[in-house]
Amino acid sequence: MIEMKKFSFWYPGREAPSLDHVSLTIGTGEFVLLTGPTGCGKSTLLKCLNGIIPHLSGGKSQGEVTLGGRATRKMTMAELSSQVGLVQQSPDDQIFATSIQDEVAFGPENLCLPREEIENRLAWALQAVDLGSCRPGSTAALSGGQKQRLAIAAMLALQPRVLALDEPISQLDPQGAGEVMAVIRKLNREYGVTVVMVEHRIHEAAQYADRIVVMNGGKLVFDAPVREAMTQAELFVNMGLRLPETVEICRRLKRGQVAMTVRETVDILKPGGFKKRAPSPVGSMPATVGAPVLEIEDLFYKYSKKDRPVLNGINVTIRRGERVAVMGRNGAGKSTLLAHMAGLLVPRQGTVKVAGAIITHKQKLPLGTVGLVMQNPDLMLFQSSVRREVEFGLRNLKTTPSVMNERYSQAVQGLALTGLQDDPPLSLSRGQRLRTAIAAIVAMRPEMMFLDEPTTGQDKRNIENMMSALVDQVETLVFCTHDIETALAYATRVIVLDEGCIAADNVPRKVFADASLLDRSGLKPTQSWLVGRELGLHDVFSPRELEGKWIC
Amino acid sequence: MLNWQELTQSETAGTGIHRLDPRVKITMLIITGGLIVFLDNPVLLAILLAVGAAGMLIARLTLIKLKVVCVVVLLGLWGTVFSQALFYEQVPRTVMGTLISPGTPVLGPLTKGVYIYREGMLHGLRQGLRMATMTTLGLLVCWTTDSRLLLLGLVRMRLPYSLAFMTVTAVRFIPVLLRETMQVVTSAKMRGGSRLSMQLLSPILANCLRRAGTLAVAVESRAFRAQDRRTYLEELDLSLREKLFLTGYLLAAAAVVTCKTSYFCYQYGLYYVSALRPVYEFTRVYL
Amino acid sequence: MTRYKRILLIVLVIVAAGGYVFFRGSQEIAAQVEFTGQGADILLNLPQEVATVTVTNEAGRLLSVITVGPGARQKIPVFIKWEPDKQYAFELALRDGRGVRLTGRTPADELEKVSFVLQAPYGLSRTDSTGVVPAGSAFTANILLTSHTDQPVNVLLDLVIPPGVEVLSVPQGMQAEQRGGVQHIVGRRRLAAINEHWNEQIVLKAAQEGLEPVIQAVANIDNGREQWQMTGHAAVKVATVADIARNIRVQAVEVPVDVTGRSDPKARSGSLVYAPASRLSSLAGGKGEHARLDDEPFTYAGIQLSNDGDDHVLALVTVKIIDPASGALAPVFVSPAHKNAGLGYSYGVVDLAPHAFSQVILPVYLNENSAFGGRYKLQAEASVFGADQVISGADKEIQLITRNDRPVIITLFMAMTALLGIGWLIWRQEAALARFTSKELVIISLFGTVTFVAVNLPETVLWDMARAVLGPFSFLVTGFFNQTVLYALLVALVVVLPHPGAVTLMIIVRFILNGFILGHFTPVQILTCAVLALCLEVALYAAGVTRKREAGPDTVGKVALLAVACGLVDVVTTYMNFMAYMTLYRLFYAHWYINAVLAAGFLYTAGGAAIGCRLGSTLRRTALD
Repeated sequence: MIEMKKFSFWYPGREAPSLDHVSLTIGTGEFVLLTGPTGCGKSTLLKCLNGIIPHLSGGKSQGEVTLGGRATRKMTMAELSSQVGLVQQSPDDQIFATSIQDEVAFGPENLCLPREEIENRLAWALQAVDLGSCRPGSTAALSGGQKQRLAIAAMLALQPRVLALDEPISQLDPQGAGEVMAVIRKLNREYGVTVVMVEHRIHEAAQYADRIVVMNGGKLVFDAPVREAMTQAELFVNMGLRLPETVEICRRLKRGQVAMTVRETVDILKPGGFKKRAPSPVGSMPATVGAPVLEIEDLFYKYSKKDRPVLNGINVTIRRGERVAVMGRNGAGKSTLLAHMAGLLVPRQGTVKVAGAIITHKQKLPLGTVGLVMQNPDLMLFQSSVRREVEFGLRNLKTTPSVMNERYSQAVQGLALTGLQDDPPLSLSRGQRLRTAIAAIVAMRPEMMFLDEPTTGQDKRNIENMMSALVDQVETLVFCTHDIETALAYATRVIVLDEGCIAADNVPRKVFADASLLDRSGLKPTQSWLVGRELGLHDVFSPRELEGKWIC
Repeated sequence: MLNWQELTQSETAGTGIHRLDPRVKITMLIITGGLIVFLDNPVLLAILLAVGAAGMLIARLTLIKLKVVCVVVLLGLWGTVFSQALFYEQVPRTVMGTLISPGTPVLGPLTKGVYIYREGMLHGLRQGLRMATMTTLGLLVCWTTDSRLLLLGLVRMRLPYSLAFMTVTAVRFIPVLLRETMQVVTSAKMRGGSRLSMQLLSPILANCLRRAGTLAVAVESRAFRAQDRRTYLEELDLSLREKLFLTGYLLAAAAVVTCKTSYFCYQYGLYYVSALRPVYEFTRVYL
Repeated sequence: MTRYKRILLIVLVIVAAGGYVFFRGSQEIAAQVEFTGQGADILLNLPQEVATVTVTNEAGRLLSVITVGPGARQKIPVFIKWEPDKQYAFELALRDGRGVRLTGRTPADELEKVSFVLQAPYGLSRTDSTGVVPAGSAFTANILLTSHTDQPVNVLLDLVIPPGVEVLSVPQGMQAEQRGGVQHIVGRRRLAAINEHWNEQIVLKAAQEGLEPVIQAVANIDNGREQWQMTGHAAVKVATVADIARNIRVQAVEVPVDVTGRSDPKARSGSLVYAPASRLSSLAGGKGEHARLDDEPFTYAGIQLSNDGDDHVLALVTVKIIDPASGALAPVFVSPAHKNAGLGYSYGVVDLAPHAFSQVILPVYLNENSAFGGRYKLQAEASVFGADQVISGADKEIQLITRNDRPVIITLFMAMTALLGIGWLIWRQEAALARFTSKELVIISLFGTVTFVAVNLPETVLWDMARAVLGPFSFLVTGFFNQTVLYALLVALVVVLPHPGAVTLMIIVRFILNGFILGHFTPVQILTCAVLALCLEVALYAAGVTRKREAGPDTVGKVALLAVACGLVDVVTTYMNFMAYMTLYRLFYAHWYINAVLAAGFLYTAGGAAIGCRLGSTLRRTALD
């Protein structure tokens, strides 16, 4: 179906090739997972498939890409678009229309198809991504997962034989990611669509793929069927890529065998038995807990009179030194609760006391008491250089120059921004931007810091860097997350929200051990925990813990 | 605070006004826009305004929207009344009050005195009817028609599709950018910044630039502008009644414009035909 | 009459008028010639549109071809020098192609050697009629002797004053004498040259009403060779003012009329159009401010009076144009200080013939410095000459239209720009946008969204509130969004996307957004957008932003240039916007106000553009991941 022969590509104005003699053959109906570290050329390769390169991109290319035997260079964009559909990372940014119907009909309309045909394709494409019932609706009302499925449907309406997906689930919550992966898998299995998917979250995508292709520095460095690839774990680990937990478990406990699903893993591990002296779990209890810094009593909140309450009687006390993860489904009230905690919303009913001050319309929090990191940290960077960005809050706090200098250098060093001080923040890479945003807040030394799902759209390494820096620099931390692993690693306490009420409030290991609670709150347990449960171990959450308690 | 989305979104209630072809509405709006410029008779302008208001009632708009129209129209009228009360430059004019007397230092000699004139207020009220009419009709059209249908109408009236695409995109990202703007303002405030700082535009715009790359790839992958032509899922058909109505309205408006133009020419001494005297008289009295 | 019937009547009138125009071509034209001192008047039975009049003498020699201005006329004056007792031919060429030929013979009589006129009261146009004077008030007897030969003549003048008439003043060089109980006024004078005059006024007074004294004057003339006597009589009737007033009426006031009293059929009665000279034409034509209307009457008012009495009455007619609100003389129509004896209004004395209508034509002056359009009241008043009491009057409403071409021309220019722009888009379709890549289109539309979110949404709320409180001065507050933020975004866009046309596209998108979401869809907005796009494109190209693609405005000088250019664009477009509002919505704005708005706009805009430069150059460095 797809064949690349020694294909190289240079972006305009760049000396190094983004693709360097790439040769790749993909058969019809295959599901290929294309992975590699950031900047390795994965996305560029996808753009070659649907003709954006070289038709619309500019730049220089060498070699040839053929689709079904025809060179893409010689095909028109109209022809190419009905061969290869491209779905990108951000669910919000690839939808242009206000109505679902228009979005899907856009492609066929551009191909000048007759009305009846457009109608048929529209119906089929929406049904294929399970959005058939949403057809007359507005795109703005869709969730992230639904938007991503809509983007797929919009491509499907062109009836492409190949679907190229560029990290389609990286910005989605677990629920949305699950929906999207299910659709992609269905398209591949039932409709025979060839899938080329770029994804660094191998652990979530590998189980669906037939084959894994790894790129590094614009070159193809590895190409093998999934199971075979999983045996070469070091390759992935060295590139900072995470393997599926099941693979990791088998790697640790039973070398040589590969399991892609929980079921398989359990089957492999079943013959083993409990270890005698299991080490006690670490980091489950808060190290030091101080005086209360935040007290919420009987908090109710509605956005308007007609709406149902978003927060329905919340009572929480957070003490100095705690790191609290707030979890729950989308719409459970996480962000609203966080906004109250940060003093952005004034309670209509109930009281919120932050750092000793009760929030009212008249009494706002003194500047610098709390820090807030938004979902999209890019929106927090508005100064012309990293230095000014970090110093901005300090200036407004009217600190003395010496204090400012000290805090500035601490923040910059703590977040590894040395050497970037004079760059405009918006010219930095995504991870650097996140760190700048956090440095700007950390420098103000807030008593408490709030993070609203900063994990979406960021890769694992960025999240880890950020969290460990925060743990070092901030005493009290409250963050919303969907990711149990993050919560396990950094939280001393987990609050689970369900329909505006607190469904659970305990140490992470207690909360995540309650299967029915997780299920009710839409949280996805770790694979290690699922495997452990099957094996009769109720307190394991990672492959390493499993390794410590189980022996094969 | 008013929820702007609730106010700006069109309703899907199926009254006759909602079902009118968007082209009819756009054309009507354009013709009326031209017409009110030519009309001088406050009674006729008030009738047009009343037609717009009646349309709103027939279209069964929600109470909040009706309230908004009233507020907007009244504020608009007040605006012209206010300005004309000060700037009226016709005789007779009766001074009702003095804002700046000519003796005031600096401002006095500069303005030669600012007074409030009674006739100016009346003039402002009469002339304000034009804007009130357009506001009412404009809101009526945009509240009874989905913006995508309006665009489709415009495309059928030969607006280049790319422009329609751009507009749809712009509309689509209004809620997104509004949310982002709020977030930028919030995050700036949390660090002691001002909500009016122009620096806040840079993260929003930078995000737009990044987003534009993604969106452009998304639409180009779907053969956007791959061909000069394109087809449309939705068809728009003008019914005979709509055609007749439009033709009638257009002719009436053209007649008014012709009468008015010849009258202006006559009044300003540019062109005169004695045979048109009755027309001049009719225009003077009724239009 | 109901409105319906009135409309029906008007329709009938229109039809009838059409029919009249269509059929009147078949009517006969009758004409006659009347020779006058300066030439001849051609009198037609119906008003006709005459193109030329050709005059030939008996020998067929062409004397004159007169081109007649447009408009139907009933009387055409022809200025020629004619000889007595000769045949002249007049050929009229009508505008509809017809022609009329008529002939006339000039009078044969020769002129006297000396002419002698006695008028009392002075002002009567005829000497053989009786003039009424108000009892107890002064009147003047006028004597005029004119020599028509170059032979010197000696004149002895003897004026006989009848009983009941009192002499109030005797002119210098004449003496009052009593002869036989009758008062005489006697004087001598030698008239040496042709056309030399002897003109004397004697102020008299008749105290008792009911008398009908006759003033007689005898001129004994001696030219050395022969002597002859000429006599003149002037009958005066003395009556009370009330008696005179009973018969005098101001019947009608006609404005505007020309100096001969004809009303222009083109002009609507009572409506005056004043078009100030534009600065441009005064520059081009060199017609400076000093040559303006101040000295020349702006137009004339014709006042028609009737006299139902049996005698001539000398009436003083005044025309005052007042501001109806204050009742004071309207400053705009006050006559210049050196005219009308500094009274500020026009007046004239007219002899009202018995049982006849008379018209007096008085000049109307216009003071350009206070030429406010609007409704005024013209008050025409007649009083008997010599008595102060107003005996009749009539009012007429005057509409002064100050025609200001500039707003109209600017609005037309805006409309043309808009039409051409829209036409171009409609004609070129996709090709109009072909120079932009899809990504650029998306960037432009997203900038449009940001403008909408950052400018229009706050503006709609803020604008209305500010307008309610500050009224026309709200621009001071809204300018920050309207101009600073808007221009910052526009300039940032072109710095990021330095293509000609990018700004235009953004303006179009913003306009459609505004229309579709906020329902702002008015003609003025279309015009404003069109000229804003045009001016901005020109300014940005001239400032080099869209011309040199590589480097944005990176130096202080370039930024300043761009800021000034944008400021000027705002000044120009805002000014045009005012003109459009003035023309299309008939609104008024004071000059100082427009200037204040423009000045504030310039500052707001230049600031915004400078910010936009910085914003744009930062954005150029955005990492696209």
